[in-house]
Amino acid sequence: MAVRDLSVAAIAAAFALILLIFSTHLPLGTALRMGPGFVPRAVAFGLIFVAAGLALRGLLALRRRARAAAVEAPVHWRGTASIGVSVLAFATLIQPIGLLASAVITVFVASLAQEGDGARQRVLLAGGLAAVAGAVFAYGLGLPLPILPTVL
Amino acid sequence: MELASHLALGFDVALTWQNLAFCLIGVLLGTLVGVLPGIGPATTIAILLPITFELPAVGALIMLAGIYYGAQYGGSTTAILVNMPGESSGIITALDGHQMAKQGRAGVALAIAAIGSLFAGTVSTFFIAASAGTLSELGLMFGPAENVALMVLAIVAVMVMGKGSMLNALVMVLIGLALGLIGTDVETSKARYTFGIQELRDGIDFIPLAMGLFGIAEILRTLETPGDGEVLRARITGLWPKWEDLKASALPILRGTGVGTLLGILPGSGTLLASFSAYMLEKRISRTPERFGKGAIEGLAAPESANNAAAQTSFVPMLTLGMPSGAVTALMIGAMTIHGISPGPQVVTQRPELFWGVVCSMWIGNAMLLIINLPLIAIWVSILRIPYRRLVPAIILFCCIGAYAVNNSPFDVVVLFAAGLFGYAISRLGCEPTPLLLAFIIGPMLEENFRRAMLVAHGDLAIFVHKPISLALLAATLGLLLVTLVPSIQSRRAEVFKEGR
Repeated sequence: MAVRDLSVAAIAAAFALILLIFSTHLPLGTALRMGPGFVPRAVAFGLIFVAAGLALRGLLALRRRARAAAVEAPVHWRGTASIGVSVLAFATLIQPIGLLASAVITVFVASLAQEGDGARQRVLLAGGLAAVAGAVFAYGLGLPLPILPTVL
Repeated sequence: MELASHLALGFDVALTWQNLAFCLIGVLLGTLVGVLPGIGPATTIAILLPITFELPAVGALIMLAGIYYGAQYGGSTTAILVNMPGESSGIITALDGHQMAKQGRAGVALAIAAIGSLFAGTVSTFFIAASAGTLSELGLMFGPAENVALMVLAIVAVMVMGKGSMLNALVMVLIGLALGLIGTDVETSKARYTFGIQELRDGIDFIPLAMGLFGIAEILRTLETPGDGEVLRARITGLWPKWEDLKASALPILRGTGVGTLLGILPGSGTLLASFSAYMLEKRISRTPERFGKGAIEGLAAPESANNAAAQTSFVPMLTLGMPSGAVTALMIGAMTIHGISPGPQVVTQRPELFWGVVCSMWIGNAMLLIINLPLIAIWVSILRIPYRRLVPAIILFCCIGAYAVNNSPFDVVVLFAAGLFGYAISRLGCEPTPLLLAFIIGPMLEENFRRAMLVAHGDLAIFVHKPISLALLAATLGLLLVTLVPSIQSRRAEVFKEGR
């Protein structure tokens, strides 16, 4: 629990810091006529306050050397990495190379998240899903998506 | 009869072949995605939101509502057949439902769940229709101060009813508010936290955010638990329950509906509280409580009805006051805004065809679940047998295309990526995404109303206690906070979530 509390506190503090650093050009305003900088600063101070509370709770737990009772499944790094890369790949590829080609790449990379299939099955899955996606989204729903590569 | 004419208008709208089709597609797609193990209704709606873009507003909301019921029913199917519920309230369903399935009564369990849901849906639809007018009239009296008080109540309710620590929930709320600040300030048109990025000038779009926080993050979580769920191999036979089964579940369905209808209105309570309370009620008044957890049909019928009734009445605060009471209604509010409808009490009077059409389609959607979904059970079971490793890439691709299609902008896919990884991280740290999403959606409205209230009151905070409605709402908020600090309720809250794990 201690590690979790301290991590959440760190996330909260990071958000508060960003809010404060980039609010210098936002006028605070008055109580009657609040400026665009009022709520951001209020949220930032709220975050700092809660972060302090969480940090305190975490440190106290650390001192008691309280061990987390529940053993959690480890982070699925393989899945996180391949799914993260596949989403980013789609973001960078969709406009230059179009829906069909980027769908093939996205599905193939995302399929690497789990074991169990050979390369041939993965390629088949990628091709099949790309075809379905093209049919459903571009033709079926009529979304204005680039289907084929635009730069050739 | 005013109510009768309202319902007539509603059924007029809901029964056009177009809207019937939207409702049917919604119910089928909702079941299709909702049946996947580990995927709850909020995730289902987030994933399927993009397909409703091109529809007219009424059709889009009808389809989304259909997706919601479909997802709920799909979740129950999975809970009964695989014991892998997608949302917390499905755990209660699984307690006796899965035991029934193990005893070879899966068909009966599925049928009773659908019948109970339809009955609950019918009652709660009438309840919504009857109460909506009064509530929206009350809502029309709201000024900025009352709106602020109501939003604070909604946020606190979601924090209190969520699982896990309140401090974590508070961090999620504040981060949601912070993300909601990004974009151009409405009053001064100054850019806030856009970091010079052109795409951020209109703020973060809520669809890629929701898809990332719920869709991608939830998939990453399910990857952690290896192995596909053990699907019942046996063929499901005997869908039609026997007379004894119906007789045994009649009263539980009635009681569950009552419990669910009332608990569903409470902001933030969601469906878990309703199905848990209904289950405990049945167990307490049963003459044979030892049968519960071993396939008692009452233990399935009551929570399933309560679950559905609460799902339905949770729409009351959203439709009449524009106030989301959980992740699902927050997503619906976001969808309404995309279609240019500003949620609030004025929707009932200004867009009666939308309001009553959606209410009536709720009933139709529930009827479709029983008539169409149940016979298709073989299809849903075959979906459960598709290996997860093939489904994951499909869902990821769907999310990517959906996020891109919102504005035809690759930037939204980057938001999806960031929200997904962030959602996975916070969920590993024991935080829930619901308060974040709710605060993100309410945040801009909250700030606008707060600034207006201050302007009206000449900067005097006392306005919030001088106005009676606002005072009452703030008192209710305070009461809610105090109640959660009472030890006996704290242990009960822990009990709910222990059973609901």
